[in-house]
Amino acid sequence: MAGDPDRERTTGSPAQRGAALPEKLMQRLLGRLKRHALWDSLLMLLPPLGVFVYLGAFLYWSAFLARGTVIGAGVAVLVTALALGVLRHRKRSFSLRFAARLMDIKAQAQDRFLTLASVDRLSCRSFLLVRLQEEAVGLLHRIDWRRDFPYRLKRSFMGSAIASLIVFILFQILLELWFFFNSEARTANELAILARELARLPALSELARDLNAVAVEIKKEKGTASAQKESQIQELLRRVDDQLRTGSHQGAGDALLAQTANALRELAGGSGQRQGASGGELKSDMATGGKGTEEKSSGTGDGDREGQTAGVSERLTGGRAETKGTEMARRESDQVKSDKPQLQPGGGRESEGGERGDLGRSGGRSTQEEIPRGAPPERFFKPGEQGDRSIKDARFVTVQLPEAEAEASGGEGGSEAKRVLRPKVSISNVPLRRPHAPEASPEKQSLPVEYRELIR
Amino acid sequence: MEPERFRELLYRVEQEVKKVIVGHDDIIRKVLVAFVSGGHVLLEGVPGLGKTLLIKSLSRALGLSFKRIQFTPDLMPSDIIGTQVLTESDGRREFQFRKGPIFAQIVLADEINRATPKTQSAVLEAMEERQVTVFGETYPLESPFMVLATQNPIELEGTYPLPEAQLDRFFFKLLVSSPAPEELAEILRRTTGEKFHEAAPVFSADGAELVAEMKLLLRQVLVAPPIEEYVVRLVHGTQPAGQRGESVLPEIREYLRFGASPRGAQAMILGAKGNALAAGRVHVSYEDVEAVVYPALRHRLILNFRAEAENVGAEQILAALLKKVPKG
Repeated sequence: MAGDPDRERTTGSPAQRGAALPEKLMQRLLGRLKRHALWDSLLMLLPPLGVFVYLGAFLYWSAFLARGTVIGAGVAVLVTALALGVLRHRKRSFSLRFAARLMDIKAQAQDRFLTLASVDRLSCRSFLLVRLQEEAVGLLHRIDWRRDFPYRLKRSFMGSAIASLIVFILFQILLELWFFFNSEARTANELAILARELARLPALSELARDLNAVAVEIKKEKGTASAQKESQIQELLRRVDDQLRTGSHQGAGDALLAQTANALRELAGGSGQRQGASGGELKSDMATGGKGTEEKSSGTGDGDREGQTAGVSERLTGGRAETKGTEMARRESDQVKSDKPQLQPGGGRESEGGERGDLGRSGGRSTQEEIPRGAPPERFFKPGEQGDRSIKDARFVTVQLPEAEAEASGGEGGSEAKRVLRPKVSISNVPLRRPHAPEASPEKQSLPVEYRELIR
Repeated sequence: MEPERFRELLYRVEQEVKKVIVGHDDIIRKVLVAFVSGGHVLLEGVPGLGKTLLIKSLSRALGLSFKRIQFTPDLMPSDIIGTQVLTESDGRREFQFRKGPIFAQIVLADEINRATPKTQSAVLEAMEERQVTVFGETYPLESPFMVLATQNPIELEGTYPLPEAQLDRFFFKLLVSSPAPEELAEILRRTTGEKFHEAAPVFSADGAELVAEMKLLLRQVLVAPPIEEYVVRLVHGTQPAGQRGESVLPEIREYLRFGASPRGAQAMILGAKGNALAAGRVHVSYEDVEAVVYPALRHRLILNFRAEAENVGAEQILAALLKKVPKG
């Protein structure tokens, strides 16, 4: 644009240039100003539209809104935005006088361009008009279009961008808060996403539909658990496990099924806790055995929640985290398959439960897991209870053994030279603190006798 | 007449007047602008600032006929306009009109506020109609005609302030201020030495024709409609109660009894045109309008009692008006 006036000045006769150039340039500036105003309007609408698109996509993919609702709202918002943009653009319409005044200011022309743009030529003396045009042409060299009339982002755009950012951040914060206080809704949200992904696989479309129905029902009930819902979840869980057991799907399908199973278990566990039942099947069995396992159950529940939070956040953030989560789920699914022949009664299943716990899933409550029979080991004793070996005030966490070692040793200590420990997952032997004695040193707590020489 | 010729003549007159008058460049310019615009000027200032000398020098430089009237309380209208006197010739007695000092091209009405309202009003018709009527007979005044009146703002004892109607007939009201120290030194050098300075006539015998051409050119100067609208907004803004009930500035509402008349708007446009030509331009700019707002409007704003009690002047009100009225 900067070169345009110069190019025009070098063409045509001086008389023609003098007669027409200032008016032409004023018209050109007017067009430029109108384009600037159009850009202003569009740019001002861009951030809110971006946020709206994000919200719409999020709500759609999270199954909060149906496709029709999202499309309808999108069209309505788009039309409103266009109308607002047009109204704003018209409101800020520029006149030739305005353009002339700008040129006067930039060229320090003392209102020569303004007079040329607005004076009634029929009632003016021509010699004065010609002289005025010549004076205006002589001042044009002071105007550099690129320097004097550049496009700059206006405050309206900055305000719009800041407001949109605030809305975006507020939405994220409120969403996280809502998920924090309503874990069932979060799980249902995840279920809805999984259902949408499962629906892409023809063989699992029916399962996906039922899964979505359950998710929608949970959202509608606002976290209120019911027996029907519980049974639906259990039924779905059973179907998912059946699908996993058949193993007829490709890697991605299995991964999705594994995630679905985990989410359903989480949902079932959460409902059970809210209804006052124990957190997992292990705890239920322990209760049957006459041993209180309330602390253990709550500990498992916390671990599950953390793992679930990680899973949801990974999925919501998408990208690499999503890939990672899927990969982990696939690995987990493979692990489930590889573990199938190893399922044995006894403590051997503890290792699987531990692995699942490390992956952030509720593996410890799997229906596939074998439940230990008989009297509980001494490590489950509460403070004050005495076992055969008279261990007092012992409090332990669940310790996971490598399967081979567990089978070989049967849970008891053996020759140290023969043992080569290759745990698949890290072994946690951090003892719990004594209740009501936070200042107590953890080193003083005893390790289980049978593992004392195993754990390093 | 070409705009360059106009500017050159104005410049030469200014230079001649400046030979006698030290400083007051703006006053000289505005008196000349009022002259070519066909208006009259009221000069206000304490005695001894050179008001009378300025006017005498101007008339001399312009080469036009000049009369001075010293206004006093006992001055009669006939002393200004003229009167019928009984004359006898060839045995016949008849009344013959003896022209007064108003019959000149440049009239200096010195200390005009010392005369009675009756005498002051005798000048009214002459200023506006450029003619006088005596005993039913009308006598046109010579063209160009300009009244330059002076008044003293401090010696108010025994004075008769000019009525609003007469004030409105003055194109500009100019305030003559005391000279700066360096100007005073120059005045001393010029007036107390051996050499006597005097303005030489710029216009010769064709002075009246040249002035007529200058007046014509001045009226042809281009004025953009947005600038005319600005003048209208300024004048309309001086009305204490908006004609259509619209809001006015608080300063105007509180301190003004009456705003400027349409004559004020005319004076602003013509003065701006003269200013533009004197600056070598053939179009009026916003700067030209702003340059004449004070001289054209200050005597047309009628202050109320509160303004006088709080010592608020027309200049302060006009300054507020200029700040708040938007351009274009």
